Amino acid sequence: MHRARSALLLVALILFASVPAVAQMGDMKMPMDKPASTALTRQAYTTNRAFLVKIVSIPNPIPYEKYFKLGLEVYDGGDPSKKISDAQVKVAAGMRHGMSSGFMHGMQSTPKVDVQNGVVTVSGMYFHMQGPWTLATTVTSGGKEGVAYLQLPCCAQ
Amino acid sequence: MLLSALVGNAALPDDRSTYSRDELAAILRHSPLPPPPADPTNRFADSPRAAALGRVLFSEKNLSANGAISCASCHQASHGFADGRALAKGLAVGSRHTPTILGAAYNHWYFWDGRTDSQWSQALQPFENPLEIGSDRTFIVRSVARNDELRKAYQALFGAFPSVDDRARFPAHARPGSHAWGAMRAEDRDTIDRAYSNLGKAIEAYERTLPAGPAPFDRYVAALRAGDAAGESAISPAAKRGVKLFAGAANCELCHSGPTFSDGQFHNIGLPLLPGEKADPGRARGIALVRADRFNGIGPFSDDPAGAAKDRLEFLPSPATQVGAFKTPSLRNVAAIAPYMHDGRFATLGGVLDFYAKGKAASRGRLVGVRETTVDLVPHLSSRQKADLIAFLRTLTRGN
Ligand code: HEC
Ligand code: HEC
Ligand SMILES: [Cu+2]
Repeated sequence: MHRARSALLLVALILFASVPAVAQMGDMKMPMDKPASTALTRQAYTTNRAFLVKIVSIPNPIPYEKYFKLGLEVYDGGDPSKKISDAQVKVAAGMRHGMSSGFMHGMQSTPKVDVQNGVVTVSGMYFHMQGPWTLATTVTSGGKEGVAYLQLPCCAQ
Repeated sequence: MLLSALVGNAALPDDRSTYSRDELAAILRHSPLPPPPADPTNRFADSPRAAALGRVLFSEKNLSANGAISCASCHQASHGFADGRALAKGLAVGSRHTPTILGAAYNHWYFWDGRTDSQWSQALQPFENPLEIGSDRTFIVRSVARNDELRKAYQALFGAFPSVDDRARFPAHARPGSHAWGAMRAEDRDTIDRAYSNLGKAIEAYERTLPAGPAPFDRYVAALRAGDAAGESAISPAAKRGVKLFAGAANCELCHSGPTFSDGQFHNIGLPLLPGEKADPGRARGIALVRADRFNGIGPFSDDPAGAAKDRLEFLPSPATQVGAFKTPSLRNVAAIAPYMHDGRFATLGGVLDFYAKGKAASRGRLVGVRETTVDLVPHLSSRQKADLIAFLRTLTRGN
């Protein structure tokens, strides 16, 4: 068991070192992460690559059936070192339950979005079902708009 | 090493090996049933003296319009604190089914549509519902004032009973919407509302003392936790197959989760309108009502207006997404409280399971709002699977 795990780690490290560009991609799971279905996505590009959305704060683990907050930052998709402080952000969260797009159901709350000093605080998040949730983040800035999907695992047991 | 772990698991002398990891985790989350969460909006929620007063008020028929109806008329101990009827009958027949109050203390939203956010504010509505008790708050507060025993019990908790004898200021009958109420001074209306809310708080304290468990299922889970193979005979093999289905393949777990077997939330499961049934907007209307409720958790009569109630009201979902959605009922004691659903349409658990087993086909007809597709995750269920699920649901009845 122990040996198997260190072998895996080695493979992971090699992969990580050899494809730095890929490791930047939001959707990619690092090999030492938990299985893809339950892992937290820390960052994701909008589907049109216009923006990169990063989670900068989130409770770990996410509490079950309790309101929680998360913090996001938005970066330029073309130059991910460039932070965008004046982006407009809208969020919607729901569960896909295997659907490739859309949500089978949403949250039983309406979260509020507040932007201050370039940090987007989303309050009023509330997960009422165990399993992977998807946060759809719609970013508008400089005449461009894009949607990034972040996966948030539910929940503390 | 992995292999030996698996073999070790299979060799366990008890039922744990028959469940997947996720099923077992879900089953363990269902039990034990902890005490109800605190209700900080009611300082007297766990006061035995308040409960004693509430108990009297709960079955006091003299507070009703016709002197014949009390809370206990519809929430009967012999019917699992429901009434055994499809639709509630007080002064007249209503449009919704009477839910049990066993386990109600675990909710954050009350009524099928969530139109109150505390159990004490819930208790104030049946008194004035013209189809139920049909009375009014001024009459009720004055009745308590005139009854030595009740007045003393009230004063021991809430302080001096306000003087409400002056008939010029406090008419015999007045409630919001009535002419007499509109004619009262604002501070006199507040006096009535304050005392009225306290009576609700006493009723909540009583209701919180009614235990929803434990049930044979809890004995079973305790045995599972302890690896006590003999103790696992607390429920039948059919019920165990039902447990596995419920927490696994049948996906009931998605909504009927946790110790109460309810997520406490609202879903439109696609019950088509029955012939002659009026469209019920469910929570879409409940949201507007709880926001407007003077007795809600952030209002002047709440004992914790800045507490958790604030977040709940602030972040309510958009009503448009909640049309035809009703609260997921707790399944504890479910076998004792037929008939089922918000309109009491199914006489038996068999009827409920037939509905789920048919999938989309059961939702043909006129729907109110949009059916939540989560219900599609419930697969087709064979007769035997339905019977197993029912055998399991029967193990949720307290004390048998
Ligand atoms: C005429 C029958 C009737 C009477 C009398 C009655 N109820 Fe009910 N009760 C109902 C019905 C029907 C509902 C559901 C109504 C709805 O959802 O709109 C209900 C809902 C409730 C609930 C909510 C349970 C939950 O989980 O949401 C509680 C608690 C309750 N009643 C307590 C009381 C109290 C306390 C009284 C007396 C002040 C009372 N009831 C009088 C029929 C009755
Ligand atoms: C999408 C969420 C959801 C799923 C999945 C679900 N239920 Fe329900 N259940 C509800 C809701 C909501 C109601 C009340 C609906 C109404 O009255 O309009 C309900 C009602 C019931 C009732 C009636 C209880 C009463 O007191 O009236 C039973 C029994 C029940 N469900 C059992 C099950 C079983 C067994 C399964 C799995 C086969 C299941 N449910 C799957 C949400 C769900
Ligand atoms: Cu879900």
